[in-house]
Amino acid sequence: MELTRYIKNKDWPPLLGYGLFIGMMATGYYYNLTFVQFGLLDLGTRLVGMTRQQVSMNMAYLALITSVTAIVFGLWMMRRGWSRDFRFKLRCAFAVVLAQTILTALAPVIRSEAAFLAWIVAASLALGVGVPATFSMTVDLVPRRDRGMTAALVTAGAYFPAAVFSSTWTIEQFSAQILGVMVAGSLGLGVLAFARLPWIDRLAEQHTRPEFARGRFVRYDEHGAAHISGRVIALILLMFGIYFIDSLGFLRLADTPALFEAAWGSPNINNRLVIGVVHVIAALVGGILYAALDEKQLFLWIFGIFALVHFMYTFMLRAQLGSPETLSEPMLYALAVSLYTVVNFAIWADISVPRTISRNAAIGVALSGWAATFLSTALALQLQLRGVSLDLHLRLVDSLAILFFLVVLALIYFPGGGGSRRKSSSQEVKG
Amino acid sequence: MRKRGFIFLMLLCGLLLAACETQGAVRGMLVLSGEHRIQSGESVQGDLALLSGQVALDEGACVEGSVYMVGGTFDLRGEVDRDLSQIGGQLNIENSAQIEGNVNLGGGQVERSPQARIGGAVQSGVQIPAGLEQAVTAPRQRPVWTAPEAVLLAILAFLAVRFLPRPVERVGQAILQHSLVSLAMGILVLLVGPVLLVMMAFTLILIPITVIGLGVAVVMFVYGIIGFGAALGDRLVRALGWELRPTFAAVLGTLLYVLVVDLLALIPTVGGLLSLLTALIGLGAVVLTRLGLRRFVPASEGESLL
Repeated sequence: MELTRYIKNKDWPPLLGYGLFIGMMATGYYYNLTFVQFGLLDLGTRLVGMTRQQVSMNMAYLALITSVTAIVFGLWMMRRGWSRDFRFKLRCAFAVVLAQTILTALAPVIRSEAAFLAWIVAASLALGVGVPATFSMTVDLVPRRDRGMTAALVTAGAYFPAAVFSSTWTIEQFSAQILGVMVAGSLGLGVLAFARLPWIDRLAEQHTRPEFARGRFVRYDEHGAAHISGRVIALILLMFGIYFIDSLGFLRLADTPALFEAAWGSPNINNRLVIGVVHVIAALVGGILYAALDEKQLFLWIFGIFALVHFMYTFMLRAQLGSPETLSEPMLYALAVSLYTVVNFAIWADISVPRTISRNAAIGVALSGWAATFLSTALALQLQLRGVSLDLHLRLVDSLAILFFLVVLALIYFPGGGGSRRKSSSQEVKG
Repeated sequence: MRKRGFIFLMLLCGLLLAACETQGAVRGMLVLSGEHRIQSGESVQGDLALLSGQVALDEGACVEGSVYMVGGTFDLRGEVDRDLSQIGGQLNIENSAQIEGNVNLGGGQVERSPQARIGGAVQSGVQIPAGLEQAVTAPRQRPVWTAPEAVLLAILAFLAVRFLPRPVERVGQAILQHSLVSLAMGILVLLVGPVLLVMMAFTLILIPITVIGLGVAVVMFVYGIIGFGAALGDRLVRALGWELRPTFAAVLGTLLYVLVVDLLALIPTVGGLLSLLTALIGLGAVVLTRLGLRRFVPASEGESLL
C-alpha cells in the first residue's frame, strides 16, 4: 500500500488527504443513507401529512433531478478543465455542504407540500453538484493501489453509525445527529477551500503523479495516450443492476414493519450492532478483494448474495417460518450492500484520468446510483398500487438478481463479448 | 478449455438433478401451503416435510419415512414408519396413530392421545449431544485427540505433495504471499457458504448438491490445512538448511501447524479466533487458486500499464 510508504517517510500531506477523503465521503454517504433515504419519508408522512406514495414519488423526483444535475455539472467541469482543479472541487464541496447544512436545519420545520417539494428541488441541485465535485477528488487524494481499502473505510464509516445509531427513524433525530457534524464540516471545508495552506497546494498537484492519475482500468499505448475500453459501459450497467436490485428489494422490506423492525429498525441495539459489524467486516473484505479480484468476479459474488438473500426472504414468507428475530437475512443483505458500496467508491476513478473523472463519476453515479433509485422507486410504487404481494415482489427482485448473476457468469466464462479487456473497442482520452 | 469445463459442470449438475427424480435418490413430500389429505390406502414415499399449511394423514394411510414439522398443522391418524420431529406448528396425534420410531419434540404445540402407539422414545427439548458438550466445555482434553488428528493430516499432506505437488504449492504460495486476500476470501466463503448449503437443502431437490457441497467444503478445509502445512514445512526446512524431500517437509509442517493451532486454541477466546483465522486463510487460498489448479495473481498486479 502507498499509505505505509507515506507513514514510513512521515509524509503528512498525503495522509491528511486520505483523512479528508474518507471523512467527507463517509459523512456524505451517511447523510444519504439516513437523512435523505428515511428522514424525508418521515418528514413527508408524519409532519407534512402526505401519503407514503406521494413522498416516494417526490423521492423519485429527487433522484431524477440529482442525476441530471450531476451529469450536466460533471460534463461542464470536464470541458472547463475544473476536473483537474483541486481547489475548485474543494470550493464546490464547501458550497454543497453549506447548502445541505442549511437545508438540514430547515427540514424539521417544513409543514406544507409546496415547501417539501421546494426542499427536494434545492437538495437535488446541491447533491447533483456534489457528486462530480466530491467523487473526482479521488484522483487528487487517493492513489490507485489504495482505492479499495479507502473505499472500504468510507463504507464502514457510513454504514456502521447508520446501522447502529439509527434507532428512531425520525427527521428530528436524523437532523440532530448530523447537523453538528455538518456545521463542523462546513467550517473545516471553508478553511481548506479558501485559506492558502501549503499542504493543500501539495494535494492539489498529486493528480499529476502516475500513482494517482492512472486509473486501474485505463490503458496507455506506446505513445503515452490513455485508453478506456468499452467495459466502462458494462460496468455502469452492472452497477445500475446492483443499485436497482438493492433499491427495489429494500424499499419493500423497509415498508414491511415486521421485517424492518426485526433488523434495521430494531429497538434492540444488539441486532443493530450485529448488522453494523457485518457491514464493517464486509467493507474490509470488499476493500481487500477489490484490488485482488477481477471486478467481474466481485460482481458475481454481489449478485449471487443478493439472489440468495431474496430467496431466503421469499422462502421464509412462503413457508411462513415468520421468525422475525432471525438476523441471517439482514446480515447477508448487509454483506452484499457493503461489497458493492466499496466498488462504487473506488471504481469511477479507476476508469478515468484526471481530465475525465468528473464526467465519468457523474455519469456513473447518476445513471447507476440515482437513476436506478428513481426507476426502482417508481416500479416499487406501481407494484404496491397494483396489489403485488410482498412475496411476489421479492421473487421478482430475486429473479433479477439471478439474471444478472448469470449474465456476469457468462461474461466470465465467455469473455469474447463485451468483457474482453484487450479486444474491446476503446476510445482515446487525454490525461 | 474453460468453456468445455463450464459446460461439463453444467451437464454434471443437470445429471445430478435428473438422478434425484429417476433413481429416487430423494423422495418425499414438501408441504409449503394449502390443505392436503392423505387418505386410507395412500402412502407418501419417503419423508414428509411440513413447513406450513395443513396435512391430514388418515387411518390406513402411511408415510414411508420420517416426518419433519417446522410449522403448519398435522393431524396424524395413520402410520409413520420412522421418526417424527417437530420444531413448530400444531401436531395432533390421534387414537389410531402409529409411529414406529422416536417422537422428537423441539417446539410447537402437541395434542397426543394416550391410545396412540409410539414404537420409540418420546424426547422433548433441545439437547446437546454428550460428546459435543464435552468437546466444548473441556478444551484441555484437546491435545489427547490432537495426535491422531495430526497424524492423519500429515499422511494426507504426504500423499497430496507426492501426487499433486504443483497444486499444493500454489495453495501454499497464496497462503504465504497473499494471506490477507486469502483471509478476506475465506471470510466471504464462511459467511455465504453455509447459508447457501442450508437453503439448497430446504429445497429438497437440491439435497444431493448440498451433500456434494458439504463434501467439497470438508475437502477444501483439509486442503487448506495441508497447503498451510506444506508451505510452513518448506520455509522451515529452508530456514534450517535441512535437506529434506518436499513430502517429508510437508509432513513436518503439517504436524507443526496442527500442534500450534491446537495450542493456540487453549488460549481463552483469542486462541479460538486465531485458529479460525488460520483455517480461513487456508480455505480462502484454496478458493483463490481454484483448488490449486491455477496460480493466484492479484488482479491489480496483472493489470500491467503499457
